Amino acid sequence: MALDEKDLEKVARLAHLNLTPSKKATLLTQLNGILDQVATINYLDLDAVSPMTSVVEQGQFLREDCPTVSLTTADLEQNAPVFEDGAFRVPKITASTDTAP
Amino acid sequence: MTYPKTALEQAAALHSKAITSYELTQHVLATIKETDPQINAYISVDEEQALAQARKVDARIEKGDIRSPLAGVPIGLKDNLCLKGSKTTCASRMLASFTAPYTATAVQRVLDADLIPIGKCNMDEFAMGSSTENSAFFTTKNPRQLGCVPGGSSGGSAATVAAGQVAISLGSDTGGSIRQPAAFCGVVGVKPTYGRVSRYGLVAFASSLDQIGPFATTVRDAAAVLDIISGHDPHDATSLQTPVPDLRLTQDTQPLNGLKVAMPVELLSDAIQPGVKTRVLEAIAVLEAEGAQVDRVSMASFNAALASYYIIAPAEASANLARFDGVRYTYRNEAATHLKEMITQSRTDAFGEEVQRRILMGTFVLSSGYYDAYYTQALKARRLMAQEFDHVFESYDVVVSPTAPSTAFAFNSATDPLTMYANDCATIPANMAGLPALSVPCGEWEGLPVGLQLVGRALDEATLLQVADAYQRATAQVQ
Repeated sequence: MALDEKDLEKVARLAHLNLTPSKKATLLTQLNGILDQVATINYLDLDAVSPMTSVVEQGQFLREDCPTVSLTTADLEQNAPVFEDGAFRVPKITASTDTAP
Repeated sequence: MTYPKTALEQAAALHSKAITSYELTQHVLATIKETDPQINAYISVDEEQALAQARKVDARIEKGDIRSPLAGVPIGLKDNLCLKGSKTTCASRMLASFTAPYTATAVQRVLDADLIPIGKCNMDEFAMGSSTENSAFFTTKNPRQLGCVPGGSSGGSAATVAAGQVAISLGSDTGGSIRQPAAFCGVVGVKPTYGRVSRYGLVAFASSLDQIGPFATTVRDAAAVLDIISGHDPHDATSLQTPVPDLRLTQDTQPLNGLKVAMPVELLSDAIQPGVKTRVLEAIAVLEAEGAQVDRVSMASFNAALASYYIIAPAEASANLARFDGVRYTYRNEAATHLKEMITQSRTDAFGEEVQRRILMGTFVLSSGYYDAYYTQALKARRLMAQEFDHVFESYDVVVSPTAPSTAFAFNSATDPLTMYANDCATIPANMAGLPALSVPCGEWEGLPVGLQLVGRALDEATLLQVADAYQRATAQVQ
């Protein structure tokens, strides 16, 4: 089994997702099934092959460094859950149970 | 009144002033009102905007200002394409209230060409799926058989054309999400060469694989749309700087003498439904009768296509979807008392099952200790696939295969993720190699459409379109 419960919990933390115990159990089965399937990639002889990060092989396109109007504050505000004084308001960074250093 | 069916026929009627765009748009809106309660192709329809645009276009046509060969023709848009001022939900609770603050380049080109966007089509959430069952809102039905899925992820875009609501629509294709629903719904779907069409304003799923492309009932219509949306865009660093030739099929259909066609045996295996195989082999016989030379070839790297795609695509998705955090423009969990809890719970609440599964998969294969074993290996397999295509295209012009291993399946029939993923086995290789590919209808099996896939050389959409057009004429799909 490529992925155990500890791995899944770590991955969920990295991905900022909460998993209930029943969801964890289902996901372990599903993800390990997928990982078993994708492990077939190792049947290929890839030692002498370099990774292909992009199919586009062209030089970097550069454009003129001219200031243009992008999104306005009104554009940003229309979709914001909470927007105050020109900023996105979010809950406090630390949890109420955190102790000060 | 009877309106023309294809986009080019509609355009001809509009430009000769036999009909107005306003009348045609009203007709399309009425058709959607009548039929969409059954089909559910649309997440949103903007009647007011569509009619306003139609009026403007009519005024221009009246003065002889015809801005494109499809000026005045209504078009559907997949709901991962930003259109300023309209909801762009990606069929997700995460973006259920999101109003696009800007317009995607491909959509802007559609507007500049004076087409009429009608509404936003249903899809699998964040383009992850092959049946449109992963939409957070509702499922779309296959107009050819209502108990079956339309395919995905661009199921709504395929269904709206197949149902005769609109003649053309736009979808996106990352691993087959235009071609497979086109096959399932019996319409034409085209994925261009990677970089041919700007991705600016397409909500990203897998940035090295995503492309926007058209649906239509005829190859000629699809070619006309592709011609409008293609071309370099300074806003998209992956947009090709190569000039785009005229992609429209304005000449008479070309014969296929001298065309060399390769048929990978790996895509005629027992994994392919017998009825699909039968129809595809019949289609290939038509190509031969029209002058093509068809050879069976082996493309062994295809056996690793699913494996490498389901490492690379989730990996890229996990990075692209990290931006959806409840902070700036998405659903937010209001009960959370601190930031990290808010981010985590917002994502947990608002992402569907398949999206969460792929994010977790992608995060795992990119994580320390596993990156080389999975992600690097997948990138190597990707190069192998691209090299194998290069090798085949030294001797052949087109690669043909079934578009999908089966016809459209019933709702809720794919009970585990791997069964669903297997739908993409034939379409994925073209995305991995960045090549243009299309699906054209090639008959039916037990009442359901079958699609023939053609894959071409990079930048050679023209050959694909010509071959598919010849096939449609030879099989009397068009006059």
